[in-house]
Amino acid sequence: MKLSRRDFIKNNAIASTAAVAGITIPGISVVEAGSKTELRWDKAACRFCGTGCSVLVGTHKGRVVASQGDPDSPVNRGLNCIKGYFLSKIMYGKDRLTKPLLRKTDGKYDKNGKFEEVSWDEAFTVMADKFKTTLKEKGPTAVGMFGSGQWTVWEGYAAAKLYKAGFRSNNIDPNARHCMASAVAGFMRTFGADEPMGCYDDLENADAFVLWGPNMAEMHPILWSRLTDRRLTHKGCEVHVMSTYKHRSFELSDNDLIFKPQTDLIIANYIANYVVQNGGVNKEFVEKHVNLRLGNTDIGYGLRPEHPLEKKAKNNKKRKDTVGSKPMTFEEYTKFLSDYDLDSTSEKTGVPKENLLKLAKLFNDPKKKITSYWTMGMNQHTRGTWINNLVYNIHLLTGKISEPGSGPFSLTGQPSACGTAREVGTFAHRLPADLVVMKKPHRDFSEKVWKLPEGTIPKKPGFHAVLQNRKLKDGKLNAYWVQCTNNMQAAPNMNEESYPGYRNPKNFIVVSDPYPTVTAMAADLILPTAMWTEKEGAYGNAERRTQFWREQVQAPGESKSDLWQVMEFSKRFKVEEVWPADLIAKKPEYAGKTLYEVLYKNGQVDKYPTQEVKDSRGNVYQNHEMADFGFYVQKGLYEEYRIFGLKGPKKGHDLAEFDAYHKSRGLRWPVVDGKETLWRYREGYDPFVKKGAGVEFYGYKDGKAKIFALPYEPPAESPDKEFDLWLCTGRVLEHWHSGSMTQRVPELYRAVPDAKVFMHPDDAKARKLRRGMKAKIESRRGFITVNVETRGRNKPPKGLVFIPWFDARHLVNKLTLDATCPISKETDFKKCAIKISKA
Amino acid sequence: MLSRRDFLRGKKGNSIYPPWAISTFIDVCNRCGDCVNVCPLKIIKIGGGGYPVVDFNIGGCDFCQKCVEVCQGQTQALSLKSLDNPAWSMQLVITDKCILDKGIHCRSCEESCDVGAIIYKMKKQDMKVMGDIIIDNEKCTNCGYCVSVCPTNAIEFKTTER
Ligand code: SF4
Ligand code: SF4
Ligand code: SF4
Ligand code: SF4
Repeated sequence: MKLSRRDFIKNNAIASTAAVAGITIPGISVVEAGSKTELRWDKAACRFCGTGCSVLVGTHKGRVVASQGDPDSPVNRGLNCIKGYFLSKIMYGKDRLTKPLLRKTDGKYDKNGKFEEVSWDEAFTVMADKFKTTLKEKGPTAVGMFGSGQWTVWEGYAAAKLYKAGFRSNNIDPNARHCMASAVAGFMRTFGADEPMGCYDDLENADAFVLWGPNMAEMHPILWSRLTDRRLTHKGCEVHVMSTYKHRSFELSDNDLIFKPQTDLIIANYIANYVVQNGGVNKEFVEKHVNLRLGNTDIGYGLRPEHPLEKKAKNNKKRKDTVGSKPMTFEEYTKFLSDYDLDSTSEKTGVPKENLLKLAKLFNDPKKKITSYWTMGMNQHTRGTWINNLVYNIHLLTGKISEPGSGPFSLTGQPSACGTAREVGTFAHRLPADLVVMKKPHRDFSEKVWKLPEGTIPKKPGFHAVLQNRKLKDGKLNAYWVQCTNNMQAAPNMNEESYPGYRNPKNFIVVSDPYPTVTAMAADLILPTAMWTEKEGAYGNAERRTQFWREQVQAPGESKSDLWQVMEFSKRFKVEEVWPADLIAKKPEYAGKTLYEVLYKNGQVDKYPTQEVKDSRGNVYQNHEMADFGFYVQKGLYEEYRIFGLKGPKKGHDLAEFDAYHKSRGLRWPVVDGKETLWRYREGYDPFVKKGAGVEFYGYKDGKAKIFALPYEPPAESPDKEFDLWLCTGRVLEHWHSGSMTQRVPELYRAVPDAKVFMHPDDAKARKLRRGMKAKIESRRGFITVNVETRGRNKPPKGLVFIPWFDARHLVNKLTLDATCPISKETDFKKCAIKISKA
Repeated sequence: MLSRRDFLRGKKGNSIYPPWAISTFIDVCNRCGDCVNVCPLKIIKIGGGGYPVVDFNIGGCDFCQKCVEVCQGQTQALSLKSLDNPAWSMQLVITDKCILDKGIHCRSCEESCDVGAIIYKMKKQDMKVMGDIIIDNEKCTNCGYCVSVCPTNAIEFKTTER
């Protein structure tokens, strides 16, 4: 009765992990008890995904001991996923860092030395020395920072201010570049303003849902349960699921579309073509609210300029060529689309005709309210901005946008990719509230709000994520700070493009993290960081909802929040050390001052004195930053940031005042007169739309959105004879991103301990592999060894494999290629060529 | 230390004999520990009273029979004759530790089952859509693989009479 050998869990899996939190938490099983158990409950946003569930956090004797879904939250209504359920354990991994660690030999900093505990004073002294020397010798472009869509709103704001205004360097970029940048670029290009028009209420209003790749069942499970509810209870509701492989979301699918990688571009154009040919165009809407543009093509792949693909491309040398477009007529657009007919689309995409037709007919039906969802499949794409534009095209052509149940909606990976990375503008080209560094009026406005001399903020965008790693390797970026992200595990092509830069003897690398991640271990200085509810925080989720929480517990040892670190570090710099004399001459009162005084003690940020932080039930909470700096830091930073939305050149970014968020389960901006906005750009919902306009895409001056004609172009790397399989990377339900938190929760670890390669049984067989065997996965850039899985949650078609990236012991980013969308600069983590053999 | 009686009663958690144990296992087994050492998956350990027990928290059983083979040189408490029968006859139960009913989205156990005995569905309850799992005990081979992956230790075996 022998059973087939299993992909077994390593016998001593639990014991072998060095990092699990060795504690049991009694609170979990008694979460309902409340008062009886002396737990103090308060609300917080979940630390993980962009869904933005609200959780109730139970603390006991200075320790978070329990969490449960917040029944009063409009987002999750008391539900959580398994990660949210175990939130209370993420702060208590036994390898939590508690002291700064500096590489040293014989008591002195040494790039090749061993990590030794040092004081904060010593850490900042060495760090400031490196930054000052770099600034002096090479100027502001040689310092940089990599931040995070997991930063709280004020952390991102304070860091962006330190770099853009303080160091006068735009070399600050968030990990959201790997995650949302294509949606950002897409929204900006089509609508002139970032972020979705709709909100999660679309889930209860749509007649049909179209998934352009996302596996919501695993990655956004709470939204998935709301979607499932609609599908099961609303008559005629349909779910169309597109992906390059079969996954759990197909369980609810009414129409399965498994397409060949990159051919989503063809599907989108085919649908537009069908709609144009079959009367689905909402002519009045298009005439009134849309301009048509023919976009430039042959824009390269964001690889290093010497790469043959870049040498060959035409429109990749200058930004204006890459993003360029020219007006076109509807007739020209119709002609452009005519290539995308059913037969050729089916042939090129591999999707059967009836499935394509079913989807096209859905969009062609004027009565159906349709919401499109996507995440990394469309964003991590060498034509990521294009596919975003093409999907918006369909919603614009049909007028299915900006109303309950209809619209394109980008799901977010990180808890504050919207709230911090996008809204605060921690990208290399951005400023708060949709402003950009390239535009003089935007810089002028920012400098005015920040009380800075004209010309402080440099106009050239800084290095984006992938470029930062290249510049580190090339020795052009030398003093570098990473906060709140694990980029050594995340960034593509680790062997060739990430690790060499961190270990380049010319560079000094600082990593702030609660745990010794892969990234931290590659650094020269590690700063121990207070996380999640160890500080007062704010996150903004995918539906423009800003949520606050109070500091619940004290961080262990000498850990300090990212906010504290940034502000404290700024005290080390005199204006004279970072600004040229002519700039200081414009504001002589700043002479002799520190960056801390100029940026944070500026009469604005320090406006709110220390106070007691209290909830409505009278519980009092600590606030370490307030205690250390002597004013209500979070409130001051937030209220200064809020000026950008209220008075800035881009309208429709109004936020409510600080205290309102502590009292609510979050508010969706723009918040006007205390009222949140659910659907933007439509009269009756959005107060910024002119009376009588009906719809107004006010991101552009003429109030019109743009439809872009853009073709299919092939991926940067496709399988060939030698590297004969596609590799797609992604996540699993149980772990979040690089697993630095969830892999330290014993229960989540035991549920999914290791990354596996999901592959088709025939592909396995052809390589003499069976389920559970070790396989060597090799690309042109490196190899890893993982176990084979031919069953389970992901079922790739022949020719494609899937490997999740949460597992620090199996670094799949050794395989991935650093090709990006040339417009958004976001990496394509979904497509590269690999080969597999028996290990 | 557990007495032999406690062990038989299954006190201190349901102790599970090694696979293909004879009905008089507890009288026959001499506690040599050979099966503990031979199991390639290390799921057999010394339990109460020094008797070998299977701990599915460590992992599942591949039914390789190495433990039965090694026992032939000892007492044959794990018997070759039993091999015609299933390794165990136990009922799998999902206890109320399972968090699906709390509105937590989890389905980690489902995937560990080779034979499709764990079926996940979504159901509507209290106005919310939540997960639900059903166990098909007809299909279940008692391999135990689902036990160790459950993050809340919600999966247990009830021993039934042979
Ligand atoms: S990880 Fe996402 S879906 Fe899960 S509880 Fe947190 S916010 Fe909700
Ligand atoms: S059959 Fe094999 S795997 Fe199962 S308990 Fe015996 S030795 Fe271990
Ligand atoms: S014990 Fe039964 S239900 Fe559990 S994995 Fe094995 S066969 Fe499936
Ligand atoms: S793994 Fe455990 S908690 Fe999760 S669904 Fe299965 S039995 Fe329930």
